[in-house]
Amino acid sequence: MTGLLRVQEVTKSFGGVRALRSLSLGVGEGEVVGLVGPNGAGKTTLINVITGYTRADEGSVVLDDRDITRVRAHLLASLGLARTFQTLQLFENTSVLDNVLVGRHLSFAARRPSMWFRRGNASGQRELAHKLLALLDLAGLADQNVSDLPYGVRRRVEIARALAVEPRTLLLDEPTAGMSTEESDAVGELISQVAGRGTGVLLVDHNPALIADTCSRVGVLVEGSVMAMGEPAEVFAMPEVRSAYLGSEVEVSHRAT
Amino acid sequence: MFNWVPAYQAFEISSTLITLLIVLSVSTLFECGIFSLAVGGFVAIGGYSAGVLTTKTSATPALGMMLGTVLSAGVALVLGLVVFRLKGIYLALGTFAFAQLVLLLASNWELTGSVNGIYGIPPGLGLGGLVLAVVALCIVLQLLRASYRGRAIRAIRLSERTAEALGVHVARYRLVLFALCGGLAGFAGACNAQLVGVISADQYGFSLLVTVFAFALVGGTGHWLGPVLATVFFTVLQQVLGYSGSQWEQFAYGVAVILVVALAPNGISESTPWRWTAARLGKRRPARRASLPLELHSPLGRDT
Repeated sequence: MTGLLRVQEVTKSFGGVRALRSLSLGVGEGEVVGLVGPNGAGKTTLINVITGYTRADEGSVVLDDRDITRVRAHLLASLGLARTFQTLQLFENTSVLDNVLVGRHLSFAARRPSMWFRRGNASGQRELAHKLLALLDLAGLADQNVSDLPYGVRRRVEIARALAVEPRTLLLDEPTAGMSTEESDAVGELISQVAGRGTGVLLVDHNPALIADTCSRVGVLVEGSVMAMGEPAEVFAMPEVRSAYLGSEVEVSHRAT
Repeated sequence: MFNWVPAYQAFEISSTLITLLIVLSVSTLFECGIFSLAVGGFVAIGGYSAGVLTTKTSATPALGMMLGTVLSAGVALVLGLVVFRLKGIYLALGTFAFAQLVLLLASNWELTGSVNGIYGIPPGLGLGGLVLAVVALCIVLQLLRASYRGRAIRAIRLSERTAEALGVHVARYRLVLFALCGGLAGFAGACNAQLVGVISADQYGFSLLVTVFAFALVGGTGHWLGPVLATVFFTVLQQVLGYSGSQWEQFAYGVAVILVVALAPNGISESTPWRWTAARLGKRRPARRASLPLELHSPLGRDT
């Protein structure tokens, strides 16, 4: 298996619960790989393992031919890996612009000559941040406090911040949760654009239309392992996928009521 | 420069400026989300090393001050390596234990004069020097605040893991800041020892912690000016009401902290009135109308 990001035989248990069972997955350059599955299937655990938040019990994660299984979380951004979070992790009571500019941290630090107190709103960086904001239709909101914004907008801020890292591999954990159809269509289009520039994207989402529109491949995760992997149309047509995925969705909604 | 200030007032102002240095060392750590109770320990290390060096040897006060600063920073660095494995309340307890250890050592060691402490410490920085030190510190804090590092520090406070995912070396930032603030507290401790001339372990105990934390908490994490204003306000209040040193002093701090926690949980510098004022005073640039729809299809250039 080749590609930018390779997850190899990763296993992870929490107590008696096996969240990931010998899971393997690859994302190539410029490829959008979708990942669907019922709640609790291990999607977020997988992203946490890739980004070093959770340590895998077995197996390895390789990024650009480099084993990153044991690499500390803060170094991953410098290796071109960025993520968004299923439960939003914005810097609250901070402006939208500042949230995005934290994503530029490494670029600030890399500027030469190195300066201890390089101004945090250097015009070049600010311009780039504004570009990202415009891209996510946040142009007028730069100075707004993120805590005052509606949910869908906050999601977009998080995507903008992840893009500010200029990632070569982007992990999106349910980026369109809570968004309107128009919003999520726009995000889908953006994901395709980002991939078009060579970035590999791993897209975890519950929205089959989004997956079908943006992904070249989609994996179905059930109980910690990939049950099926292939083109979205094919995969979604598989009877076992339909029963596994839709079946447990129904179960979940039952339990919720 | 400040010769015209009468001796008593000069002493009081100097002492306030020293307190301010200690408060800023605490509030700067708050800014990074570090709730450390070790400050008394660092002030003591600074005070004792300056005291011991200048009374037992013929070293100059300046040398004593430097030793106090460097030693505190060094100890903070080592302590940070150990204690940052703890989080939240456990970090607070760990750092508190350290401060107690320092005091225990100081009050039992012959070198530090055991319970009698050290007296006859030659004077060091005068009022002018302290004013200069505080102004320099405020300039540095402002530069830090406006820099990308300041933003990273605030990000660490708001969400450590997210900051880490965005490439901020959280562990290093916290450790370096802890060492610098330890050095600052040590510097203040040395200045205090040289101002007062007499030190003993009990003056670095719980009441110092209460005073400093009251000022820092009331000031808040929004801006370094908050703690500065809080310190000045409380000191003036103290002078006006003349309760300094009495049991009413601690009482006043208690009431102030409760009020602030109730009305502005993050301190005055993050309160709504402060933000409101700052937004109107500050030369806020109007939100730039990004003229970018044209570039919408090549927005993420690594070439930019």
